[in-house]
Amino acid sequence: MPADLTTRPAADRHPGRAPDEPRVVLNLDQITKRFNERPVLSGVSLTLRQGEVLALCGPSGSGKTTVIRIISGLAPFDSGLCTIDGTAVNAGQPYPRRLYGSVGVIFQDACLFPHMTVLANVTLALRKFKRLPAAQARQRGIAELERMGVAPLADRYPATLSGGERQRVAIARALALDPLVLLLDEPTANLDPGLVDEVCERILALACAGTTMLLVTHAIDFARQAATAFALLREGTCQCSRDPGTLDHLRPPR
Amino acid sequence: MHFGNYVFAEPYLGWLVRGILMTLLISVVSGTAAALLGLWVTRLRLTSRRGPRLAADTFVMIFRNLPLVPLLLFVTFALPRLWLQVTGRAFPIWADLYLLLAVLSADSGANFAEILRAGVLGVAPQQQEVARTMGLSAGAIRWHVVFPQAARIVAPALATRWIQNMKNSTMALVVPLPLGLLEMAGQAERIAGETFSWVQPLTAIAVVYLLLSLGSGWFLNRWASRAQARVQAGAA
Amino acid sequence: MSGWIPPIVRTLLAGYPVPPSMIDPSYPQLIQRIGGLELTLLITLAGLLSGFALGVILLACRRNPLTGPGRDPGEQLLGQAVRGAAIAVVEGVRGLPIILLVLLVFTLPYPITGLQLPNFVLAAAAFGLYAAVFVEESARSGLRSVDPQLPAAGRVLGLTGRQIFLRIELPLVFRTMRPDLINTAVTLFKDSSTLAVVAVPELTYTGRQMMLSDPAIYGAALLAVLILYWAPATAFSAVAVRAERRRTRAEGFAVRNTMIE
Repeated sequence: MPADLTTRPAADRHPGRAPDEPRVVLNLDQITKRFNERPVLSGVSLTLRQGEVLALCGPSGSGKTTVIRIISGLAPFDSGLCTIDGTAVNAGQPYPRRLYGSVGVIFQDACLFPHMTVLANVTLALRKFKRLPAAQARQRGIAELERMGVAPLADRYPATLSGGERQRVAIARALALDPLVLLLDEPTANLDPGLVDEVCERILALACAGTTMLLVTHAIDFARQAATAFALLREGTCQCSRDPGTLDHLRPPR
Repeated sequence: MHFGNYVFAEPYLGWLVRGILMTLLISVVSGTAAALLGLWVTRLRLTSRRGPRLAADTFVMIFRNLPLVPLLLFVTFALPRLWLQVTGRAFPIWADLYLLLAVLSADSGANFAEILRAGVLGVAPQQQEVARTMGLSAGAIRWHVVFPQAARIVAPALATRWIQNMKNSTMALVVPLPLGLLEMAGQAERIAGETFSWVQPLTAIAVVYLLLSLGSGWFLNRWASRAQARVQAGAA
Repeated sequence: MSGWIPPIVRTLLAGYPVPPSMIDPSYPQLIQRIGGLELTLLITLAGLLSGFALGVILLACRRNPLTGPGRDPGEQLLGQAVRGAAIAVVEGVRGLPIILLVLLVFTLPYPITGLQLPNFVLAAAAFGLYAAVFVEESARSGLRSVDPQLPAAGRVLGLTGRQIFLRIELPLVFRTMRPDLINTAVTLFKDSSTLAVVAVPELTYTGRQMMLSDPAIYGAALLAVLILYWAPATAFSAVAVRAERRRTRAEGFAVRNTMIE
């Protein structure tokens, strides 16, 4: 990995910018959710500003994936308020339609469409959601694939790709829609150890380029490198701060 | 027993050829209509709205268990007369061929719907979720993400049903069709009526049917296994 | 108007009475007197039983019992020929529409052999062949799912190939075949309606005769025929589905069955 990323603490990455300037892209305020009488989240609050990377960590089963599903509109929640770029998502009410397509999600398994080529995966939403003409969509798609370093794979099918390649394509697919925020749910958890680096590299590059991300991960060291803010999800609540020390409960710094 | 090859002489050979073409026409038309019908009915069966879902479920439940011979007899003979009796108006003079095609399409359509439903249930829910986060509309998700995968998952069963639909074209025997529109079995019956022997025409069309079904079976199964291979590796 | 409904159903159940002059004394009178739904059920049963037996035989032939070391080339060739014949029969019957199969069985024997077999026998033969193919395919896929350690254990214990097949593999396969057998039974029941094409007096033919004798009223007869096919078929299939579900419920199937709207 590039030397400057491993040695410089994340907070120094944007030296000239005061932390309060960027606008709030995502705000969760006391979100609660129960699954069949079992409380999963009991008051989760976090704030994510533009250009920031928030690492959400916690023990297994603490509800991290649930938080991502709530933010992206795949799951309802019981109380609290979720605000995405000024649009409010209220508990018990359907997710606002216009937010679909504005929040990008990367799942643990890349979830590519297996019956389409890699390029078709990336351009599908460009053509059907953003209504771009085919040539333009193709251009944009190839550009995003290049950014992730997987452009040569454009005409291959997902089944023939390695795990790391699939994840990079998934990220390219999500970025092609210019989302307000990118949610990554343990992107390297399912990968063989040799393939983890190529994905982490790209995520770090995105972080440096100012992509707003919410990163759920078990890889605490990676979280410390990539993120500018940290949240620890434990027993249904979450502590959020800019101090990497928040994660020390999970793993002391080396 | 003397196997004089009269069946290869005119005009019988011409009749048989015409019958083969008619069989292919009936198979392709009713098969395509059934495929579209199956897609639409499957879509309705999976909606959350109760009315359309119930209607589609009822359609499949009814047509899956109705045998074709009595159904065709009913539709082509009894239905017009019942209609006349109940409403006092004459049934529209639709050529019996259209009725035959409609019944075959409905029967295969219901079966296609049942097969596709199993396929849709086999598509990982995450596929739909990812597509939703990408802003695709419900219709786009159905048409571009779910159905293509569902069809590939159950491709062998779909192929089998397509061939079964082709074999069902022989049910046209029970429908009174004009001589020019008879399919293979009908032409064989016609030849047998003139020559008083079923043996040659029947054997001839049996051979043709074997070639058609085994041949298209081979092709379709190749397509089916290729399609499945792409989807079988999982939605990774 | 409702007065004529019971007679329709009664006739459909039993078929038209055969005039005493037409009864052939050379074989069972009982079968000749049966018609309508009763005959349909009888033919379905006969087809199932003979089909089951024939299907197992076809499977055995296909598995080629005459292979293995210690067999001279003549026997091996015979084994291959038997296997080829079994495959030919299965693929041949599979490739034909049921109406064609019925027509072949009903029209070919007399010109070729001079034998005039009674209709019931021909019907049972046709549907026995039809069912045999279903049974053979179902048994073949069931056989593939048998744990290979079991016949291997049999060989270690010194059982011959035939004993392993009959005592170990077949009983296991019969259990996995049960839902397919029910499906086959329902298919036979419905497809027996094609016998109307060759004037066998089963349910559909009876209904058709009734309809032709008085189209105005007896159009409803065909409706009754449809119901008499549909109701048992649906009921039977539902029982099979429920039994299948009870078996797979233990596997914890949690499936989403609505789409995003």
